[in-house]
Amino acid sequence: MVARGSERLELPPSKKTRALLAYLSVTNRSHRRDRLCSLLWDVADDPRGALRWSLSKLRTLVNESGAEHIVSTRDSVRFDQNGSYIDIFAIKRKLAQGVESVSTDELEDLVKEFRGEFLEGLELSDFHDFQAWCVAEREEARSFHTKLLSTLVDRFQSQPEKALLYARTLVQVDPLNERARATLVHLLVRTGHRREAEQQYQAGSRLLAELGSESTGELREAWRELGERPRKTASPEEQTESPPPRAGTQPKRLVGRRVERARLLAALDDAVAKRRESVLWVTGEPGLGKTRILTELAHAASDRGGTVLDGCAYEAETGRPYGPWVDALRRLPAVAVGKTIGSDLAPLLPELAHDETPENSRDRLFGAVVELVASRAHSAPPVLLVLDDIHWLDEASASLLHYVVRMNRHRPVVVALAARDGELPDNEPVQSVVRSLRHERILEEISLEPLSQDETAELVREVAPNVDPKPIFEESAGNPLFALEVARSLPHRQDDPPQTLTELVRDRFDRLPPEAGDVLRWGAVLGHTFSVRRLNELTSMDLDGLVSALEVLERHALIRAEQSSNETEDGYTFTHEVVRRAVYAEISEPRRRLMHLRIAQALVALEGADESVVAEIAHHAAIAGEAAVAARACVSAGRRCLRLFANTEAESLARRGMRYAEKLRDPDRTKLLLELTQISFAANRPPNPEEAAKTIEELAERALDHGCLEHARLGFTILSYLRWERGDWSDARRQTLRAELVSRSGDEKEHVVAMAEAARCLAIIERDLPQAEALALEAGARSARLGIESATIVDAQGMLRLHRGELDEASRLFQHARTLSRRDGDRLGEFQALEHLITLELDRKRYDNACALSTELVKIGEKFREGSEAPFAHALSAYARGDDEALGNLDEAFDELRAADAKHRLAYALTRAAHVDLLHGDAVRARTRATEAHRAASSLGRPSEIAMARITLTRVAQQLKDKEGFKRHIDELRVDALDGVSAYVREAGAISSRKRRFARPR
Amino acid sequence: MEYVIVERSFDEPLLVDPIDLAKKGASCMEMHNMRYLRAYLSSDKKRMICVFEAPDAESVRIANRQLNMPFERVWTATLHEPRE
Repeated sequence: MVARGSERLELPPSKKTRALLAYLSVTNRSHRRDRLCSLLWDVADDPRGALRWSLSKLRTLVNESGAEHIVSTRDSVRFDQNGSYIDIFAIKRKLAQGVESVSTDELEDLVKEFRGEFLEGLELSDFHDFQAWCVAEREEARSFHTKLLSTLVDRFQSQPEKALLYARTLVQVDPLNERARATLVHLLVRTGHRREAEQQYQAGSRLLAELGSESTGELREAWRELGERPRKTASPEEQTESPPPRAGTQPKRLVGRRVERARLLAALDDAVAKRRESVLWVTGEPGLGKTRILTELAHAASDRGGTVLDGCAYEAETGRPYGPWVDALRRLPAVAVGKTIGSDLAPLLPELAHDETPENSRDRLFGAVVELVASRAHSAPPVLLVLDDIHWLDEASASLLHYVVRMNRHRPVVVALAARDGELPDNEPVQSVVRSLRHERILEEISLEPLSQDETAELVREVAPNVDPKPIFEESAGNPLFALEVARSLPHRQDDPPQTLTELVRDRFDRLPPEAGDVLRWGAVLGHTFSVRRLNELTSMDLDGLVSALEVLERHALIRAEQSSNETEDGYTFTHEVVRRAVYAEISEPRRRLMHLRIAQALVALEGADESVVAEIAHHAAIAGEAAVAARACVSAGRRCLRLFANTEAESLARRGMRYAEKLRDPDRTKLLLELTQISFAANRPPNPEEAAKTIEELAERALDHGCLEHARLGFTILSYLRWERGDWSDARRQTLRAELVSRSGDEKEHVVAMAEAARCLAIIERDLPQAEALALEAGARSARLGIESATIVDAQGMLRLHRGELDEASRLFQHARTLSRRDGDRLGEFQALEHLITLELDRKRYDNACALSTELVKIGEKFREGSEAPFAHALSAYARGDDEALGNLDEAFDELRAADAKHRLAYALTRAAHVDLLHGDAVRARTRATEAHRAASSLGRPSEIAMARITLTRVAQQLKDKEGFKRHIDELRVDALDGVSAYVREAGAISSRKRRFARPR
Repeated sequence: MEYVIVERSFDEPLLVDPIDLAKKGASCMEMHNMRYLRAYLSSDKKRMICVFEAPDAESVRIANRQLNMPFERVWTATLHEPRE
């Protein structure tokens, strides 16, 4: 609450803006802007813009002339407390003196400052750092509160009625404190409330059992001391002191809203009559009846024989991409979805998958939804798509919504969207869809205003015919939900009536029988909707007791039965999100955490559950502070998002998961971080690949240190993809290659070398370079641990560097590989390393170096009885020397290469010889050689040599003034994309393309 | 595609089925776009001729070295069969 003097100020509707105010004022120090951005907006497109927007709202709220509380500079922001009163600081100051030195009157005043949970309603479970801070602050505030309350209970021992007041609150604030409950039981008995004492005893025992907490025995002891025997728990019916008031029922009829209703119905009729789509945008503050009026619209569409698809977004479900769409689509009968569309919708609705389900894509999925809407618009018009509470809509759902709206312009389709407009700025993807629809002028905006006095009276009479509606209207200011809550509270009014909607709900909740209260708490922690089956697993009640409790809650209009979209289980939903939030806020932080933990554990234990359950596990485990469960669930949920093409959600889950994983010990920490990084990179390429590569390399090395080979391998694979953006081998093939490498190798050393050989092989044939990189990295890291240095590994690394154009590094690696081969007496290895070194020197036009090295290469090559090494060494040597005598012997070398049938080496040598021919003005011979080189390279499918030969042929045509030939080769060069070729070829290709204008050859 | 013949000899008789041996290198052969067609193993199991289909003989050399399958000679051949 923020007040100026006695005037209570209205807080900004944006939750993040309120959270920012709380953070700035409670931390009471200066914060860097970037830190605040990452605290609250790490997924927004423009976090600094979002921060500026929020700060502007806060300045309007708290700044006054002469007192600027929000003080900001270009880089930092702080809250200046001067001239303000912040209750938590007042409490801290008092308690700092020691609670024993504070008078009882003062203590009673301080207790009054606690009017609910500290920072109530500011949970932002997606923002881990903020959430962690918020929980810690709450924990501290709660410890102050319990300290104050227990001191007061002690001080009023001689006045049990007064002590009782504080003991009751203490049990509410600290429900797991057995001693506090035992004291309460004592006090209740002393003051003659035996029945309530028993209820408290039962509730305490049940709580300890449900949450699996260790009992200290104090509660049982207290009960025993009082000479009582616990009776069988009475049913909630027996415990309800009076039957629920009629005011608990819901009004059946829509009251007021005549104009708005007429506009909605007109849109429905226009859609059919004019065959055009309309998009209705219903906004209003909580409780004004957005959902109610949309329900009315849905009934009208059904009455007209139309198709209704309705879904609702929930705050806790942002990790479940397309959640509202899934719910909406599941409401259609299965026959309405044909086989083809069904297959394409399978990523969302797995029950529609067929054996021959084709490979899916986001386009296909979106197309299928549009097709489904189109087919229903044809067979059962109008189609009404209702999406409620879209300020909580996930990015994937928002994109699909935009697409569906765009693609159905001329069909009888009505899209009705409802949102609290004040909370919309917290959701950038939805805001941008709304902006765009508004810009296109297809948004029909319907803003719900409060009801008039007469309408409020009419509404109140629906549920409480005998009360005077006038004060209710004044109190509720025409907000229907508020008015109904006031009407329900009237029979129980005390001197100090509740002031806010939340307080009204909480007041009603406090009067519920204990079992019903417990069920409602579990429901609130489970989410907006919850199933009977799940409640039954979580509460310690038998099914009869549970069902009775649910009936009580239903009669009190706190929940209502709802058939779930997949029709598999009975469920309930809160009558309004305000109700759920009020109940949730009433649960103390430690109890809430334990409840979330129980739910997470129960969900983890589910077998064969719908895979969407992983997002729920992540949500509950995160709040429970179960880092390991939360991180693991984020991995599963993130992978699911990737399968559903919901990259934004996948990345956000990965980021959340990483924060939990960071808290774990190794090796779990490293393993999970690697898995989460893989998800994050698959969703979006990191903005700073070099920095990311460094982190991954460290993680992969650490995984190796812990003996987690699979995860080290994963790390190297990620790393390789950071370096090579493309890959043309399927994962299945990779797995086969890996398996073969293992089966071929005797011990680990052999296995590591086999990996390096496979890497070098891939690099030579220029196929799946990311895989080659991953293999080389893994082989390098593992060989270092084995204390071996293998020439093959080093040579493979050199080949990859050469391909990327990192020539100095490649040269160093080839020289090292050569040294290692000599040390091992590996003649072939030495030949290959030297060959690579010479080709590198030739590319760099360092002919003298190449010449000296090729003399050595010839010596080694001649030691091979068979194969292409000797002739290739001669060819390289001749080319490096470049004199007539050497070049004169080239044909002999070519003949031998042809006889050995070594097409790659032949192509390489022929192209370089053709280059020399061109320099000597012999374009005809150059053409013959380059043509043969091109043929040889093509039959092997080697991209670099194919392109090199083609580049040479282009130059030949230029020299021969062969316009047509030139054009043909240039065109082919464009087709033979230069993307996948080695760096030196790219360079040659670029030079060639600069000379594309035939008219001006040099 | 060419027929490529690989000649091998062993100091000790080869006790495993050559085709099983080749299976271990399926990925490697696939990388080089080659196919193992058949093998002729001498009665004393010390000499062997393997026939591959491959783009060139050099690919077969590289793959055999990578798979640690020793050879003496590798050459490209054309197939001649008697007319019916």
